[in-house]
Amino acid sequence: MRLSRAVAVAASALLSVTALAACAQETTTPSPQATGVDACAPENLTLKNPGVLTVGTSKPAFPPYVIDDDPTNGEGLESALAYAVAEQLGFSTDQVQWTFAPFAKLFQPGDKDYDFALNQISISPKRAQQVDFSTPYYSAPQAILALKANGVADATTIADLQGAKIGVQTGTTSLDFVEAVIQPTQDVAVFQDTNAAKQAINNGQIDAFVTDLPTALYITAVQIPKSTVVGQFESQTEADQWGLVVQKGSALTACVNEALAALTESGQLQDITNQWMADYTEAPVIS
Amino acid sequence: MTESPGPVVDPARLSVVRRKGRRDMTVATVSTVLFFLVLGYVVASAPGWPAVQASFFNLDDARASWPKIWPAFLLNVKIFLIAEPIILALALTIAVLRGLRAPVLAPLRVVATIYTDIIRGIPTILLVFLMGFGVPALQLQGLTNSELFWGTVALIVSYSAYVAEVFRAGIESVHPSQRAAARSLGLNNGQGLRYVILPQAVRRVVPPLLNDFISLQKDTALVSLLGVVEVFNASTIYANSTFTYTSLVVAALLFIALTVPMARFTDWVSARMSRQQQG
Repeated sequence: MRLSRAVAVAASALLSVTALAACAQETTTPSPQATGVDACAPENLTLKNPGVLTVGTSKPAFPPYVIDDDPTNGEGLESALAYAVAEQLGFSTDQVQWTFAPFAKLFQPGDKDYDFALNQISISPKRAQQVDFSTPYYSAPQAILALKANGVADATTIADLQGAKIGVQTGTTSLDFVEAVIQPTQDVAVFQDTNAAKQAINNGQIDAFVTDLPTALYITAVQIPKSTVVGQFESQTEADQWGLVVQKGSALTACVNEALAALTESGQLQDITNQWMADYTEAPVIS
Repeated sequence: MTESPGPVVDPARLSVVRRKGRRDMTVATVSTVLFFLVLGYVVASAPGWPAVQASFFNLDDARASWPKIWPAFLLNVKIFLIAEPIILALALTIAVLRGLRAPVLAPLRVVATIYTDIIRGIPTILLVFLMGFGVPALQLQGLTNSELFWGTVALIVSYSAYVAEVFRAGIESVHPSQRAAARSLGLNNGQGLRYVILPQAVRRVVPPLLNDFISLQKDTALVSLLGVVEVFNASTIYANSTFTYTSLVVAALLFIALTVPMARFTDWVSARMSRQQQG
């Protein structure tokens, strides 16, 4: 997956153009070009560990975001994206270090354990008061899954779902979505992780689980074969856009955004997305 | 208690004692105030304090999370109020079973001993998880799958084992001569236990019992593991969706508001009992 030297040079040329454009708009950040120094070069970045880009994600991490629970293999949307961003910033593959970033620790005040973290973290204005978000790199609709044997599996409208006992994972936008859109008559169960939710589905303690579509498709295909994705919901708001999390006020945020802009420009972000997410977009639409 | 003329005290000596008392009081007050001022200064002057304040002690977030947190906290109180009487009854039964002496009842004694040994050996958090997801996984007919129900059952199971040991300690602290005395009055073993041993035993263990109650009030938060939206879950939902920790502080304050009066009450009961025993 490594970019060749030539491509890297071309990309960084492109990057400096976009950086220039970005700096023209953002007067608050010091312009790297003005001083003749590339503020985003690895040697000029203030990093958690000098010379190394430390990336945080969850553990266990699941496909299609990370394959085999091993982010270092460069496979899966978020693993591949992290390496692509690192490459844009000028880090080699072995200069990328992964660390476990538990969700509740993502927004701990003070110094972070990572330079940036990614774990399907939805961008919201409220959250952005505590951390910096990059520009979004992916967006997925919400979806609902249930055991094939459960009556909920036949639902085609939101009204069909209202009587179901629904579970969600904490820290996701799913709870807000369920309460605002489905408005179930029973209390929503909120689990600390997807494993607990999967157990509850298997036990029949909840009828259905609402999560993002790719996760729902992965769970039904691999983890709970006797379950099925009942359907996906029409994408609601921008709340479902995912971004990289960077320490509040960090100079790295602008650099990461430049890297993402370059990856978008070059089509590489689209390639990564196509490679890992293409199988995770199909499901009937519930309205 | 009969009225007796108090010991004769030299008035000069008395005023010295009173003055010393006032001085001690002043010193204690000043040192306490000073201590908290210094502590407050150290915390507030820490480099990370503004960030911590914005994340942990934000009044806007406290207000915004309150409508979600308060009803969830009432669920904790409900779990506690339901679990506690059952725990008391179950624990007392186990303690009495462990104290049975008739050879024919040996199996009951063994079962009670194994129960307390094993259950006390399992962290409550594991027991909640294992029972909350494990029992419904058995797919037994006629049993509820409610995670709230099984979470509460796990708390009852866990705490009964601890409280049973408290009761047993109380029973064993009653001098054997009391049992003999009951027998000599013509009471049989059961009556002796009921009218002589248990009243003394239970009275002695009231402070440690209250201590376990306080502990249980806080451990009701463990059912959050099962997806039940009680106060810990409700406050982490708010925390995770806003990336702030203030809602967790609100939850902590609610627990304090519940447990501190209980702790004061425990102290008061212990103090009263030790006065009674001495007097």
